[in-house]
Amino acid sequence: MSSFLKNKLAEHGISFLIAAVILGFLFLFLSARTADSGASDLVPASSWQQTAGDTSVTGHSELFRISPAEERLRFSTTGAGDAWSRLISLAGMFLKFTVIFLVVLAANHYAIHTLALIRFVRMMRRQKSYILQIADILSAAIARPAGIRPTKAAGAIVLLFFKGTAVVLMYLIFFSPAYIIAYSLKSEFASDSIWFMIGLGMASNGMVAVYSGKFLHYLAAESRQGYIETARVNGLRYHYTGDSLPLRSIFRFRKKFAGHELDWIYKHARFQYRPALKEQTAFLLTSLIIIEMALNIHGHLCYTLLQDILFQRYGWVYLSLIAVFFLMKCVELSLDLYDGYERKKYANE
Amino acid sequence: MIFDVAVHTGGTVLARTDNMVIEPGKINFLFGESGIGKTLISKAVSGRLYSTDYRAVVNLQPYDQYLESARCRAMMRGGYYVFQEPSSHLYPLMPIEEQLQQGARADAAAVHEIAAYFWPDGFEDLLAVYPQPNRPSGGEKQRLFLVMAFLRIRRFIADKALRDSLFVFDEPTAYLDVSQRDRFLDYLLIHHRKKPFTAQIITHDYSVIGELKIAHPRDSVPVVFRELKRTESGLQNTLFDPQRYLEWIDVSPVTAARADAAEPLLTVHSGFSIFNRRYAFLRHDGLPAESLTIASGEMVYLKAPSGAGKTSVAKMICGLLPAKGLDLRIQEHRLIDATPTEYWKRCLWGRRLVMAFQHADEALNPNARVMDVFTSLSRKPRMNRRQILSHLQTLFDRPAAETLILKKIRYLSGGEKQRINLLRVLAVDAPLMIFDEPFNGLDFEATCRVTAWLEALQKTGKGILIISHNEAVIQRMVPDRFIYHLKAMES
Amino acid sequence: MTVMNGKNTPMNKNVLYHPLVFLGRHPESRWIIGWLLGIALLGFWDMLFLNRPALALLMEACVHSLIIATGSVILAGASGWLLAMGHYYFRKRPVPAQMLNGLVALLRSVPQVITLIAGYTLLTWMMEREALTQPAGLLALTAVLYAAVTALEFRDLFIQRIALFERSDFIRASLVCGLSEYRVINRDILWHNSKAHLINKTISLGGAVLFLQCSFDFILSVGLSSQVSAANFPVTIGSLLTRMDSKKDILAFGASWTDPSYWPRLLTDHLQGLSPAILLILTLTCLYKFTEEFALRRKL
Repeated sequence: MSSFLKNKLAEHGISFLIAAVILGFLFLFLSARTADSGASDLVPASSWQQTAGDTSVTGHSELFRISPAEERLRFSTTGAGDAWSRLISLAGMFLKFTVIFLVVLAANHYAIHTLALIRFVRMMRRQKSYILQIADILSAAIARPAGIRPTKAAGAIVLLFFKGTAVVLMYLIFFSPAYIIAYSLKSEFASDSIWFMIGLGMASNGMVAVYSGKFLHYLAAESRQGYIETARVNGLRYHYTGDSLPLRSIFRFRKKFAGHELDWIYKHARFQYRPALKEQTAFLLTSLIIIEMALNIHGHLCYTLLQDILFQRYGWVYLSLIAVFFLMKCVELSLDLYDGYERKKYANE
Repeated sequence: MIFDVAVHTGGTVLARTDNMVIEPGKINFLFGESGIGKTLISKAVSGRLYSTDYRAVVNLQPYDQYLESARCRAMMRGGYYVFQEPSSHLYPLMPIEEQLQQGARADAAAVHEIAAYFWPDGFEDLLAVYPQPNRPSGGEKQRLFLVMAFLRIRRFIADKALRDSLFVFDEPTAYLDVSQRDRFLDYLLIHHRKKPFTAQIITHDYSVIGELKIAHPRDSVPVVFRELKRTESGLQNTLFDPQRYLEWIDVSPVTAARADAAEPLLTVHSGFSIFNRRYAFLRHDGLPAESLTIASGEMVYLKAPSGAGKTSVAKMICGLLPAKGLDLRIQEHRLIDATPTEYWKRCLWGRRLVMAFQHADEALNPNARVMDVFTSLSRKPRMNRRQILSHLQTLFDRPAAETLILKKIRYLSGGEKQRINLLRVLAVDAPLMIFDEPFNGLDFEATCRVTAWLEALQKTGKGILIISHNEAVIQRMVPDRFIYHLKAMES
Repeated sequence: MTVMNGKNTPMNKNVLYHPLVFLGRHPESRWIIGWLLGIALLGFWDMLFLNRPALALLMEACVHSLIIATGSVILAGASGWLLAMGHYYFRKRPVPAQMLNGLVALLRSVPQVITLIAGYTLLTWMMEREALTQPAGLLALTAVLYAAVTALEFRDLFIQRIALFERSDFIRASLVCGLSEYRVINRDILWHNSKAHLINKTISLGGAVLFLQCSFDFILSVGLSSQVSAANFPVTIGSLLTRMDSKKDILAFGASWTDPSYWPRLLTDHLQGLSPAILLILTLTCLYKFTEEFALRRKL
């Protein structure tokens, strides 16, 4: 095992252990406080026996009554078998959550890169916003009414208006919190279906909009680097018209732009974007947790976590949080390894 | 060829001249203060102004139209542009050999042949390298771009259909030492003799004039010297008379007797190590020197090849870089490895010594006004506006000083920033002054003014240490006995 | 000053300060203008068609959300600055540096959502025990909770800006001229040369806090405790959305996409739910687009 991998394992392992211990102490503290407050409400069993007589049914049943405090502390109310089935059920929910997370992560990754590239190409074409294009048509019509055909101008304005409205609506949807979209569509879709979850995870909470903007930033920064001037002088194409850069190349999964400077820009932007991937995955995780919790999706990990917090079953809360934290750590470790590999490759080691 | 060029950002004119002259078939040297617009104008003329932030008008044509014009196409076809700052112009994710061949339509043999000229000791270990900030070095990166340019020059020579093309070299010798610079000039002239082409070399290095005069008889050299200057009527591209420079440089320094009785301001003993490199000083005759010493009223020149560590040594003297085996004395203060930074802060910085750094745009606060540069100094009492204006007139004319005083640093040209950088050191008024590349970015007139100012400073009793690659200029001011060589050895 | 444009005709200095020219040179400002106009229009519409108690509640919710977002951003900025100063000044002192780095690594390694869940659990527990009853105290602690998850972003920004100037000779050149290190770091670097970055970060984090706040209000509506619910917390935009009436209004909005004849009623009868939803989405979108275009224009 290389020393880099060992260091990363140690780093993530230690932070996982420390956080697990701290959370463990927190929930033990909460459990203990909850048990104390529960116990103080109870009448001691001995006084019942004294009052009711120790051979009465009530007295006997009191001996076997488990206190509410004990109930909260234990993982199961009745016996080991239920605890195991609960654990298996939790594992299944965790697996489902992981699959959804990975699918949405991959889909978002594609969407972020594609949207950022589209916006970058528009920027390099110096395309004006739709409002300014409408303003240009109107001002041209006012300045030279004889040279302008009214129907053509009106048609162009209507088309631009619809395009602009579509873009605005798209951003409003992207920035809508998931629960607003979900409640808007609740009557039309089965909101507890896995595909609905995946769709919401992609389209809401600002995830795609924010991170495509971030990636666009990297693309713009790379386009200003000196090596791009060298690329142009060395003969790489640098026009962003359809002839030079077909739109379909942007939508491909494996994005390559052979003979165009965008290939260099994109590759180096992707290389520079690596540290932001951690932030992106953490945000996605937060987003999915919020979706499951806020939409009360039964049978999903985070809704069950919420129920456990509500009923103060802190043992299960702790286990669920640790499972999610573990997932996050695995993803971070994978990203660190990928990052290390890429850096080593280009650092001439 | 005469060009009327304006480069602007839509709201602000960045550079404007109506007589940008490039003589076809000749090697045109273009001098001028840093930041005045030489690069922008040359890029615009050669069709290489790529940035989406700029707009340009060339010969009254919008830039898109100019790029389609026959003249521009002729210049671009087969031509090349070697950009400034080679470190940021190599693509980090592609090996060097691939980048050398890109677009050159040259075979590996041609690449190797030209590279062998610039790397007489061999270069094969460089080819598979992915460019990083520290490897290749600045000088190596510079040479790589020269190799790319010469591949295109050879293609131009071989292609009979091409009658002329424009090759622009923007500060091609900034990272080269003198011998490498001379090799480049020789190579350029060799190729030019085979088939004349138009070349534009943007540089601050006036000593090329001396090199061309010495190495090549004047009559056979197809060279033109021009200067871009700021005048009352805007930027003007005028002929630069090389004789002015040659007469100015051909002055021997006044050899003053070393006042042995004078208390040295600075003594640095040889044998210290910085970043695992051991350093020693040699005298001008090549003999080892136990220490480098500067007394009051002396100007000392520290000389070494590019990348040897002169700037690191200067920073070490200022307590800004840690060193092992340090034995340094600044007036009554003795400083060693373990001297804490607090001591330097309390007793030395701004009091006993001060340094002007190499890159003025990094050393100064870009968002401070010129006035703030001087009022923020901790000297008591603080300088008022009248004093600052008077101070600025040491290196600026009065009208320029009045315009500059409330301007933000980021709006100044490179040459103006450099002069402010130097003036800040003067305002601190410490007995020992260190100047790292004080002539960076200055035109000839400003260089003359700064050398006169340095000589005047010396006469007031200041101890001065200078680091510069402008040997010809320094040797005009500093006698041989005050020249030290820096020798670096791997520890 | 005479400026040449692409058509080689001079422009007047006065033209440069024309509002449209200003908008052209600062395109991001249209998002702030749009946001303010949107809020003004929504406010005017609500005054006409929303009942007074609901309108008062909406305004109270806006104020509370603003207090939490502003408070958390200010606290995050201050904490981030302290952490950054600790990082800078403790570099040469290994023990404090390691302790500080360890604390930061720990904070960074825990996902935001887990910190927030734990924080809200603690808050509800305190409320159950009646250790926290005052709304002001609750607002303040909520702001502290959000500051805890966002402070590291400010810290990273400050450290990044200082590191940028450290890589050049700026700090060294200033120190050797006798300037104080504290002044160079805080006034010259973090204030004079990082204002644009600070403004951008502040606005984007304000939007992020608003988003997280609204999301967790929704989660609270499910309940983190049998004794404490969203009703116990001060009303915010997010908590308005969790009310049954608001959920019905949003359902009605969704249903109206297939029934356009319902739109006029939608804009008059369902404002209780639609107003906070529109306010939230408008604010998040406009703040984000402003910061994005500002960063692109200033090349941050």
